[in-house]
Amino acid sequence: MGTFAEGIESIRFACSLVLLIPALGIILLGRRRNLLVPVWIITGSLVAWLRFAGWWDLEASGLWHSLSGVLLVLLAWLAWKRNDAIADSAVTVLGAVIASWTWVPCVGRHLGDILNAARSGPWGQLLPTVAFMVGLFVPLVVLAALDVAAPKLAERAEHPQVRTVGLAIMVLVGGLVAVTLFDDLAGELARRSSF
Amino acid sequence: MPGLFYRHRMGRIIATIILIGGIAAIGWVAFGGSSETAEAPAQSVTTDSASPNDAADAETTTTQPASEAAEPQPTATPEPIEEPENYGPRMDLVDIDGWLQTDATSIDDFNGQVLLVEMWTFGCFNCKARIPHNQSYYEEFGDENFEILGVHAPEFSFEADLANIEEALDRLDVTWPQALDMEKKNFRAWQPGSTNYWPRTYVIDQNGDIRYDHIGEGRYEELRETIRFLIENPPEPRPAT
Repeated sequence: MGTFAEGIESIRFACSLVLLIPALGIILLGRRRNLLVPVWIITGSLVAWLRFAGWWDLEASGLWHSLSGVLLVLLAWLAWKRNDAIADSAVTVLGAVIASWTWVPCVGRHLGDILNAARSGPWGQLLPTVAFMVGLFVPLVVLAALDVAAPKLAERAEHPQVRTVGLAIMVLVGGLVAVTLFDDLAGELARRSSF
Repeated sequence: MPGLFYRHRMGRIIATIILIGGIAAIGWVAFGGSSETAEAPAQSVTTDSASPNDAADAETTTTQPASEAAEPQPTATPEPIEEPENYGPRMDLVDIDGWLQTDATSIDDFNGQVLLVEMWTFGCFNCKARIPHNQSYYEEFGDENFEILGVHAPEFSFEADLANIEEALDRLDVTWPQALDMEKKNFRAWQPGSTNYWPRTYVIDQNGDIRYDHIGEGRYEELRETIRFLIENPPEPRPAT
């Protein structure tokens, strides 16, 4: 429970913007939030856990990272253009992978326990990692639940202009990842919210 | 059809419960409901344990923010910890962009001391949460063969601004030496693998070996006991090569 709560608390911190900004883009862009949000959380958790365990050792810079940014832009455009579950899922998976790959966590007590233990016993830290991520992405869970609980309200979020804002966020994220400036965008937002 | 209707209705009920629960959780955090990572300095109530790990567990389960621990609490003298593990020689700090609050120009200037090295940045909440504890170590061991060295590794561009760093050190009452690692070269080099974390804390012994390595907040009593142990039980000086 403490791990879940620490995840929720992390929403407030600048370090989490790298995860939350693309998530916002996916939410605004996608139509199938009750499918995309679990996909986002599971993918993001798995990549984070692989990194914690030391099994994902690709640097969040360089050619592969840049290429994935370009691919994200293309997939986001495809998802915006087509009403297609596969395109929506693909951009969600890639967005979550990039976000989790780029994320440098600010570590509280519970995440610290996960990280310190993951080095010697990774499997035992998989569920705590998911719990932390579910906490961090609670706003997404709320929006996904809104789709089912109040479908008429949710329909308004699928207005073309809202989806275009989602596309713009994803294109900005993908573009900045491609030119390795994504951190700077997050920094700018953090600075504006800090001072 | 009745089955479909039932499932649809159940789905909406479950979604509504999740919705309300999620909003409540966000509200709870927004209004400061969680205290586990509160900025208030934590106060250890009791630690009565026989091993470093036990000490850490006891510290974790009995620590509470000072604001919630105003009543005098029973205290027990911690058992001496076992000798801290030796993780091998520390790395150097290279290409440092500047030093603050010290005359040192190299980490070698701290050789022979018990040195707490902390990778941090002033915008990181969890790094800030450690500051009161570092202050308490400084007060407790400052007159002994002990020093703290902050390695300031900015996450964002505004944290790489020297004026912002100096203002933050003053505001946060961070008085110990700081090495500025603007490009995060050392932040990355000291942390194995491609994943780096804020904060990360090391204790270096008098021979330059790493004797404590911890990611994130917590385990404050274990750290205190490690420092105390190393001050009271300095390792045999390594023969000159």
